[in-house]
Amino acid sequence: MEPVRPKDKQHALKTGATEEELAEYNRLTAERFTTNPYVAKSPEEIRAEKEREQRIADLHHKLFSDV
Amino acid sequence: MANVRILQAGAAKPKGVWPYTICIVANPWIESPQNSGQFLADPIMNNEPMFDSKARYIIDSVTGRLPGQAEKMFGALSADWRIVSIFDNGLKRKNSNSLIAHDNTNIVVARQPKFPDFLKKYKLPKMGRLRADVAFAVTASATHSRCSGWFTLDDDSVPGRPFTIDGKAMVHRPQNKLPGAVALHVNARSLVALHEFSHSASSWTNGMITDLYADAGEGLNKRRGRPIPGQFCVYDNQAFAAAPDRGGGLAYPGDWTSYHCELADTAFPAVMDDYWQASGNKPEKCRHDKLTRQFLLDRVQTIMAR
Repeated sequence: MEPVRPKDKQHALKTGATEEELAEYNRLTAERFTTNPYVAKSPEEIRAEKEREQRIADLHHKLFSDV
Repeated sequence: MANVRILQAGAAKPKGVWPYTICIVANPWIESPQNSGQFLADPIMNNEPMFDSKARYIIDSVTGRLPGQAEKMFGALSADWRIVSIFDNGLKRKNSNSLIAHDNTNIVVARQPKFPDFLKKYKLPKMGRLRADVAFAVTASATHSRCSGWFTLDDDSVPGRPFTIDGKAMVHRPQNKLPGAVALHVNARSLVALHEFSHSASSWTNGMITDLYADAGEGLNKRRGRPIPGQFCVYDNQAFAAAPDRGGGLAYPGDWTSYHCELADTAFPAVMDDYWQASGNKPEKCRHDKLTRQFLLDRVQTIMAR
């Protein structure tokens, strides 16, 4: 996955985002792209994946919604 | 009308055997949102010259021909690759004609399982039905522009070239069930195509080359632990050193536990790291770390030798 572009990162930081939130966003999206979708998952894993996706969406909205 | 171009025929092979093949496809329809079953027309289908220009960019980036590009590891090998582009603006709005989805952020995501049947629709003279080792779907989405890629899903029933990494046995497989798949936006520039190709040319089951700019996601090119040891790994009986920093003045953040393999050029971050942070605003100077480089060369050459 393409790294967040510098202008988007700078804009997010200028508008109140923290480095920690950007790092969490990077971590969660990196986890998504290394989770094999072709293997069966337990109910716990499915629930964790849904929670992760919700957190990714929330963070994206907070960090980049006006980019 | 379908415009299928053989940009490069690739090495001569026995009938039915394909050389290493890259397909570059103009994405007809975007599933938006992802998993909704709703499809938007992809604006790329209104601009064939833009698609052609992006296809050229992809080839240049992957093969090390961008102006000032330092990572040229596929340059010589690529002369034997088959490279095909498809621009087909006559495809109906339906699930099987959509190769890209909009995720819940601004990332374009390849719909990897759709690629084999989509490609198979096109029969090339004297070559047969189209297939790929890595496929790029190019989009001009108006709302999502961050590119991404999925690893190849190998056919693990086919014999290949065995190797070990820190004693664990894996195999470079010459065939796939699903090609590596990249969703690439028309705004992509510089190392974006090479970075995504390097993910997609690696494997879900036989070594994933992952992003190095995030302290998450397991992969062949990432290890965990502190203090950082001297040795990163032993790959195929060859020892690789760990990188004490990320190159180009980038340190591992204090709360990270992951570390990387030694760099080919310590003056710049690795291609799989945050190349946008390369000094002098020159991402083209970034090179792969030494393990990623060797692994991808071995894997691609195994596939080329099928």
